[in-house]
Amino acid sequence: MYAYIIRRLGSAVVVLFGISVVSFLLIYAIPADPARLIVGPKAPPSVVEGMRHQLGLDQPLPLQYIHYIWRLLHGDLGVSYSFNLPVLTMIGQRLWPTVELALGCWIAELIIGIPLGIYTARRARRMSDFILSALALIGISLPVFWLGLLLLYWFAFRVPIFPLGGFGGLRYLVLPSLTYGITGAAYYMRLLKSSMLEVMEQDYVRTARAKGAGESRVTWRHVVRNALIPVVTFGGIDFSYLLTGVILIESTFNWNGLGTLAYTAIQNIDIPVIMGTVLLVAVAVVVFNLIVDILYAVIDPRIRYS
Amino acid sequence: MESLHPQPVPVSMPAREASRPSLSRRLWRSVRTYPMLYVGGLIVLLLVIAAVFAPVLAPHNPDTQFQDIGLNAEGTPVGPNATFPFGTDSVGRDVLSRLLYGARVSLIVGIVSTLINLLLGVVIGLISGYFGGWVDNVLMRITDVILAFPVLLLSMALVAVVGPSLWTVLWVIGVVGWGTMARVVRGQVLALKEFEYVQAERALGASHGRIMFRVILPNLMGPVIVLSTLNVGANILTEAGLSFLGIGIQPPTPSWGNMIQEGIQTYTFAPWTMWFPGLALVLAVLGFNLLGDGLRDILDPHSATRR
Repeated sequence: MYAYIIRRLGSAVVVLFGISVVSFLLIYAIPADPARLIVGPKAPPSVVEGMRHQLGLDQPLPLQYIHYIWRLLHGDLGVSYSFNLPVLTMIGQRLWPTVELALGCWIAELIIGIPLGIYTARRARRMSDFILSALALIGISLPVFWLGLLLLYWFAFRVPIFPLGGFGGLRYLVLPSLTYGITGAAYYMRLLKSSMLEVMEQDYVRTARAKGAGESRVTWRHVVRNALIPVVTFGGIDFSYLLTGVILIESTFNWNGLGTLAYTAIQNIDIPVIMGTVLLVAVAVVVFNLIVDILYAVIDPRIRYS
Repeated sequence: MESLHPQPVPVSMPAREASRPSLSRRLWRSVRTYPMLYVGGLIVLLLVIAAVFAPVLAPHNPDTQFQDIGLNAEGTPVGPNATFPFGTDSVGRDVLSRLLYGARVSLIVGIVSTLINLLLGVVIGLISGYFGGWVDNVLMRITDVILAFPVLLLSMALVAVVGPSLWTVLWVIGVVGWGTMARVVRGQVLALKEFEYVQAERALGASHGRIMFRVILPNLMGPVIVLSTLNVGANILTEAGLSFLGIGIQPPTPSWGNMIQEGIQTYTFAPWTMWFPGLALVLAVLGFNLLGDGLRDILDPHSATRR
């Protein structure tokens, strides 16, 4: 098992290195001149040159990359062009709202998706399964920002139960989470359903039935537990989709998190902030998947040897 | 074995004709077996017709601002009526006409960016799976890197630095979103290259290029077509997301995403300005998802995973 974990860690380090190269190239190999962006379009060429020197842009690219990595490893993501604040500080201020929203969205997905998956698997090929599966397909096709606006319209504007967007307590979290929950739950539902249908065919399920186990014991003890394995894997993959959804939801619900930060930075062409956010998200995705894979190897011994 | 014993043709032919169900009956049976495929195909077909014939089908010019009949006395949008079937927007433009022209943007971005995903994903996946070893290792780590960036976020960053336009959006989504395709293709190639007919080609001295593109590639088409179809829907959503955020297709060019964005200002008193573009988007994405799922039932019956 340790060999597997070490191998997995090694590849994660390589991927993190790749991510740093991509975000570095995005910052420096771009047609727009960062020095020109900072000093403004009217500054004389000598000032631009001075800024280029100050930013180290007159050095060869590999050397610039080494400096970039060095700063990254010291937690220095650069300074925002438009706010003149360290990017790390700006991200730090916005991190918690995004984590809170992401957690809310994820929980909503599971609360809707898992029970529906179990229900449709047990009712496979009946009318209720057919209707729910059709609804799931529609759910997958819904643009998350549009659904958010619809929910805002009905449950905050027409029937004012919830606030009209913004970040705050639990009441503010309900509609955004529900928005993502509705669009994302369908994946969990479909995955769990097909996985359960597969497990139901297994010999050990037949054995359990033959030994006289009741239907609910078979479902919960034998089928659901084993069918959850691919669902756990998908949880890792889903993380990246979750973050995409969160960006759009933040913008829809005026939620002051990382997505809004990246969005504002893009409006201002504030490249250090854009790249800092992109880098952070990519690193989070890699680390999250690493943790899922390792936990997975600990839980399921079959994985380690494949 | 029947073919070895030729039957008396004149006798058997009419009998066979009679026992064969009529075309319409066979079509109906096929529709009942694969409902998703046909419903999805129909939606996609309607979408293509809307996009191609937008100038003919649109009742008005999508950019004309009808400030007299298109706006109420208070300057608010007009609701659905005979002249404007889906109402007008905040500056008095016909929503239906803009929707039809918006279909062009969605389809062009969705399909062309998918073709770029397809090209990159298939070539990288094929080479990776076929050669294995360090080539596979390097290419798959690169794939991991690209998959670590959420497509929308990386597209946002790229569009921000290159500047938003239809072409940028199309290229960016194409260049960013090939990771899943590469992984799926690689997995298939790993299994396919052990098959005897592939081994036989190699024994006959076929070149690597020939084995990869002439022998293995045709056998990959099932999963690749299914994934591409689903990918078109996903890319349409990404484009809409970018346009919604204001960094995709720029107004006044109509895109469903930027129409929803513009609708935010008016939707409390003119909700149709937001409803219709959203519905169009759902329908289009649903169409590709249904078609993709339906095609999988036919082309790739063993796989049940998606995304």
